[in-house]
Amino acid sequence: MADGARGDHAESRAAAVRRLRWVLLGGAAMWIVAMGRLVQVQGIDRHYYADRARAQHERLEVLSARRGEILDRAGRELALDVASVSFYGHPAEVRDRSGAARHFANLSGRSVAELTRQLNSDRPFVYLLRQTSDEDLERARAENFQGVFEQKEVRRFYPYGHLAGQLLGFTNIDNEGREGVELALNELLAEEPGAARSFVDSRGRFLPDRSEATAPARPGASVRLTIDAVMQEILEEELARAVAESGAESALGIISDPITGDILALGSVPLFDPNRPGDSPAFHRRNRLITDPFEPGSTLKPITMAAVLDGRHVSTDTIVFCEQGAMELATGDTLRDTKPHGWLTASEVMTNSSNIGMVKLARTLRRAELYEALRAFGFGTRTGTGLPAESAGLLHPAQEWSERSLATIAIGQEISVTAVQLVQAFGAIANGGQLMAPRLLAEIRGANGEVLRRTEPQSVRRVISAETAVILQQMLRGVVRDGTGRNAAIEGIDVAGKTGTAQRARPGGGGYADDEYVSSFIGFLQAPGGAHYIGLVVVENPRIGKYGGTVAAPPFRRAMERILALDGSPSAGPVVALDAAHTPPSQETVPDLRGLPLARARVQAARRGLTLHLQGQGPLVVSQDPSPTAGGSGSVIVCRLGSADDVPPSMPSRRTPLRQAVLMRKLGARQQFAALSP
Amino acid sequence: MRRELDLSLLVAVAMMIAFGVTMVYSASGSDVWRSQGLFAIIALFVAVAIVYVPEKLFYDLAYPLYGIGMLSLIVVLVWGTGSPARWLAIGSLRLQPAEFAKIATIMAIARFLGDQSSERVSGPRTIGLAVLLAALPMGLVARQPDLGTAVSFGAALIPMLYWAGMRPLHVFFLTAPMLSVVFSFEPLWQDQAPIVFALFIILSSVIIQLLLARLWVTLTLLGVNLSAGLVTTYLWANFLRGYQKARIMTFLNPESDALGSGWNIIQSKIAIGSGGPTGKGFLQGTQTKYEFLPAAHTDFIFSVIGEELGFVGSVFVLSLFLFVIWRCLYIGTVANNRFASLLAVGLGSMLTFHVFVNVGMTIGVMPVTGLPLPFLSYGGSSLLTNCLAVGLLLHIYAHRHEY
Repeated sequence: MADGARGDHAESRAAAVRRLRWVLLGGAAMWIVAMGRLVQVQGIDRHYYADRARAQHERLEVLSARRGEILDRAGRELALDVASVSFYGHPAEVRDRSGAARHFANLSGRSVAELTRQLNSDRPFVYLLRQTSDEDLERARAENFQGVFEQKEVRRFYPYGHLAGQLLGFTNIDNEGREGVELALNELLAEEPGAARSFVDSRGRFLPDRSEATAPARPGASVRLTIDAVMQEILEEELARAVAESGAESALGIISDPITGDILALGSVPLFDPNRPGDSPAFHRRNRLITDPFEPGSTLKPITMAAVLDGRHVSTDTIVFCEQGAMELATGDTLRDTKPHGWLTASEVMTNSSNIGMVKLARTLRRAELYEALRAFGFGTRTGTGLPAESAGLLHPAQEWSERSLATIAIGQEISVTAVQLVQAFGAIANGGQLMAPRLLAEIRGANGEVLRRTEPQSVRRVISAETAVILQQMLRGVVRDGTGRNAAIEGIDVAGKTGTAQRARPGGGGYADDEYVSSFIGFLQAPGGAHYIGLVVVENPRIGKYGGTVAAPPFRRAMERILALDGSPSAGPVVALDAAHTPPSQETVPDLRGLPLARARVQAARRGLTLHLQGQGPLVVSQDPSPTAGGSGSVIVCRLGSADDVPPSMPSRRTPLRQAVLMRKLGARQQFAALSP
Repeated sequence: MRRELDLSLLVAVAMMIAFGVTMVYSASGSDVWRSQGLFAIIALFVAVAIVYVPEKLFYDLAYPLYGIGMLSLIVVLVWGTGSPARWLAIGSLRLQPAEFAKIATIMAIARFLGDQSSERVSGPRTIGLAVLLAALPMGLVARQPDLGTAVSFGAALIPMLYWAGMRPLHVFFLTAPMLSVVFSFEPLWQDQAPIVFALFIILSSVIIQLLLARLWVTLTLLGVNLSAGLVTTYLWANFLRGYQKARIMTFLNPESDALGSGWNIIQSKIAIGSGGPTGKGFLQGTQTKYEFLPAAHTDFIFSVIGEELGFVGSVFVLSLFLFVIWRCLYIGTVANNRFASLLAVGLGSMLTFHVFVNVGMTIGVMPVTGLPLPFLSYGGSSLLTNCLAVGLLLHIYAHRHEY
């Protein structure tokens, strides 16, 4: 080793120390840079990086629970949740954004531009397609996109389509009630979704072993309504037929049990399918029977008569002179009857629906007495169905009445009532004098079907004596037997009722439209089996015919005839055999879908987590593979569709034609149903 | 003579290696930690064994070893395996000659500079020959291509020259071309590159002229700077491979290609950042477990430490390195001759460069180069090389009182 090196080393000790200092400084500078950066990344910005780490490996899943079912009085599901699949993307991970946008725009009906914009945004989560239908699911899955994932969701499904659509209302895409029963009872029906955290690796594969439920999901309670799906179907059909035959704009109807106040059927035409709320205007969606009051016209006369008779100044035999069809009122207006009459008894006034006679009888009452009577019958106050946007109708306090108010209100003008109010008031006449609160909710059931709460029929008050009620019932039977309501007569049955024909108030006030009428009929009867029914039919703006007796009484009669033919009483429980839906679903066997309408078949399949592959066209499932008798299993059932004629006669469902008929109605097999009516 | 071991250095390195094997276990989720552990035991044994080699042997072997190193680099260019070809397969053993060539090169430079007096180190002939000693393996490794390793040869050279007695002005002369490279680098300055480069050249020339007032020095510097800048521009446009360019571009803006070439840097930063102050816990790193972090047990082992053990773990590792590097320099000052002193500084510089480049890469202050983290990253060649270096340092320390 060179000696010089050692000498040099010793000699420039100071220089070596200086050099050491600089080299140390260089090393320290690097160390400080690294430390500074670490402080920034692991200290200052740690939340940013932690969020990014979570965003790429954590998937927060909503554990969906089922919203409660809405059942009819026999337990048929009018509304239920079915499983569906939604597709979403994590924009940062989607590579083929334009391809994904095109694919899902096609299926969802949204624009390619909108989806592209969302996929190019810095949002962590974008829905591409929500709540796929069975048919679309395969198409949606046909192409795979990196960064696009599936999410299991539940979708609200109304298997009977438009049946009681306005009453049921609908839910939004997040399964929250927006209208009708869905909204009114949302608190009960609403599920409490749980949450789960799961993890995915860099290739998007789920790591199920690490998933953890952070909050359990709680299903909603089910509600059983007093509605009878079969009667509802009959009512809707007859209303539709009335609209078709009279060229009317729309029609409303209610069928109720006057003894209990149970609403058995309630709806309006045009119909509304809550499966597709966006397809109908608000006017068709609304439950107008409780939201839209109308001038009842002559159908209010029995109520006025009840007040008159209870006032003890008048009996059925009291006679009034009907001025031969025209009478001048104190205000100078002329009150007219449709036909001139001379002297009539109080009964005859009702039978002939004489305005003049009614007004003269009403004049035996003070204003306050008539007002109080109408209030007692429930007019001017909400009936308390709890449904959203219920109207109280319009009944001015007596002190605000004008000179002619007593006269006009007595014959059902200058007052507006809801259909439900009118049925409630008439119910008191039909049941012997008790005003019953309309009952819509029969019971609340827990997630496992256990009954949580049962409602009982509720009497609001006695409004007339039993004797007065009997007198009025006889008068109203006379109306149907001999008077304006003859078209409502049913052979072998005592039908009581009253017609109404009112000029329609111009929308937004300003008097009445000259040639627009609201024709109505309200009536009640007792079935041979003992059940009581009260029904109201309101036909709005008919083009062919205008009188309640010719336009509204026939649909009432037809509906009642068919209900009587059902040969059962609603109060006695199920009118028809329960659907297969109420046999507990079994995982092993393939359900028998043959003979079922497509909507029912979907429900059956959804309850078992099966997918339907549909072939052919038609309302009914004609055959299926695998067949239930084969006892096979699988997750897909191929269903061939066809019309009722294609269903082999040996099908068990044929043996319960009524169920089938009810369900087929929405699918166009109307003639089958008609054949059932006697 | 008493053979005194630098126990503090040995313990620090053993701690790091043991820590590394543990983290490789966490990062790989497989059995590779076993082979790493085996390598570690062999490597530490080698390191201690070197202490008992006679002092003069390394001085004598410096040039022959350098020759063997260069030969192996040529051989790997011809018969190498892997893609890119960096490995020599001898039986079932796969070795990276470039790793051992580093030690050989540093030994050769240490001997060459040690043989010169400190006054002569500043001479252009000495500097030129030293640069040539480093440039030969640099070029050969760059041909593989392995840019990061190639640059590490140069990284050891400059501190060694300075340590050997080169004047600060000459250090500046040597580093000026590198600065020229940076200031003329088009992707860094975009459209402003010509202006930035011109400003740098004018400013550096003016400063040198004012300081030294010798026109020929200034003109030489100007020429060196200009050619360095132009060569950079030329190389960038015509020579660098696509993935090399991508790495540099990605370093400048990782988010520009978050799913592609920027993925590694982003995922590494997410791993370290999400670790926070105390980390997610040993074996709890989600970036590793869910395969977001690539090469977790090799190049990005520091990211795993940062994620699972947090700032505490990062600082622990960096502090151990700081201690080891300080030990290198200390040994450099107590060494009993110029060769040993320069060898210690050269090895320390190489170590420092590796640590800074690797850690800098994981936290986004350096481009992705593929340099492993000494003692911690999985990889036998690297571990053996670094332990050889430690062995040499222990040897120098143990022999410091001789003569």
